[in-house]
Amino acid sequence: MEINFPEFENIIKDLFDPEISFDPSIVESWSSMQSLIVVSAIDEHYNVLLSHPDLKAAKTIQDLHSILLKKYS
Amino acid sequence: MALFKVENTKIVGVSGAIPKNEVSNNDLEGLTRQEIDLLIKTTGIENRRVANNAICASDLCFSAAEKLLEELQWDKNEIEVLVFVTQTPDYPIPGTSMILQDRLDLPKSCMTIDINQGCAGYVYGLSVITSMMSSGGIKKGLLLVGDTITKLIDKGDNSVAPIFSDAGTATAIQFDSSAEEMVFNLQTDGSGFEAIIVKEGGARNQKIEGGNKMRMRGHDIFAFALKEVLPNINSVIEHADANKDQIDYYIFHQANKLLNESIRRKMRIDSSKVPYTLNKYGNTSCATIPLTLVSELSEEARNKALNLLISGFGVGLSWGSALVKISDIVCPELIEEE
Repeated sequence: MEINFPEFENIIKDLFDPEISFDPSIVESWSSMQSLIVVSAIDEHYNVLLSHPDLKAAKTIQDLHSILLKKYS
Repeated sequence: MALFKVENTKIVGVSGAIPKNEVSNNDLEGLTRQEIDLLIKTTGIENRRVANNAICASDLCFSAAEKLLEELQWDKNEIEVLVFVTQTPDYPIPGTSMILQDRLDLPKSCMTIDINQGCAGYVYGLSVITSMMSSGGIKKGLLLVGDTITKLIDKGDNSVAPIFSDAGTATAIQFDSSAEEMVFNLQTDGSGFEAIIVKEGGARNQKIEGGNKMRMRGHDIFAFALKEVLPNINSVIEHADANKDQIDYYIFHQANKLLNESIRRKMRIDSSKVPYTLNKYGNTSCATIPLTLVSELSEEARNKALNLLISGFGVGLSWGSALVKISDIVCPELIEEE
């Protein structure tokens, strides 16, 4: 399965209520609950488990996408 | 691999008791309304039951056991084994199972064991008691499983306080040479022992600084369960030479809804086969599986045969699943303890 960024970005953004006032593209701003929601979704879509250090290493969802690509390959 | 079958024993009754005191996550302090809404939606936990200072896990299990024995009309003198699973014993010494033997007025010929297990505790406890009874030396046994885990929770720690809840349960096991076999798959990864831990109060760190409170690394537990539970369940089903369609209900440890639903969707199980009590009772540690059976499936359990897949996973790290068939069991209404 190809993991293209626009699709990945849509998956992440669809997880969150648009009325909540935060920018989902900034991983650093995610709460622990929001992080778990993302981990669950990525596991379901790509069968890749992101660790706590993976999330800590990502500032933006572009960074997270890069980490996902490395783990997926 | 701890993948094995146990013959000649069956569950004949299950009961449960919860504290009457109900606490709502809507009233959590230190969180915004948006954060509370997200927490309730994600964990599935809106209300919890919290024992007052006077109620221990053993008290809840005692009430559940008394009710169950009354309805079963068992002669207490015939009970020869009592297994008590908890992480919140009455005292560090002695074990609580001995105290329960006396409180329940069981005979001195009854052996007792305490097992320190949490989320996987019901599956582990069931495997221990049925294995001990399988050879036929012991004909009747009681498995008591419960925790008042909220006593170990820092009420200001919003990574654990909104999740956990208290309950006690009792399961009656009987020797029966015609019983259908139970199939177990039990696993351990002690390298993750710090993922859920109470660091102080045991022999390694005796000094209690600021209280012996439970800490949880939520991400680690979440990732562990996503990775390990599904293959564990699949191995049980395969070892039993069964298929998913033959299973009437999957009773998962009530961890949180996000995790349990992820497992359910990955297994492609219809939601009607996966009962929940998270919304009403939260995560009651080792008691979640029998509590969910009593709360959600009692009517069916009393009146028909059911193939159940039970699966517990968490603290330890420890996890296990079992295929268990029950039929027309005694299942009293859930008790609310003052």
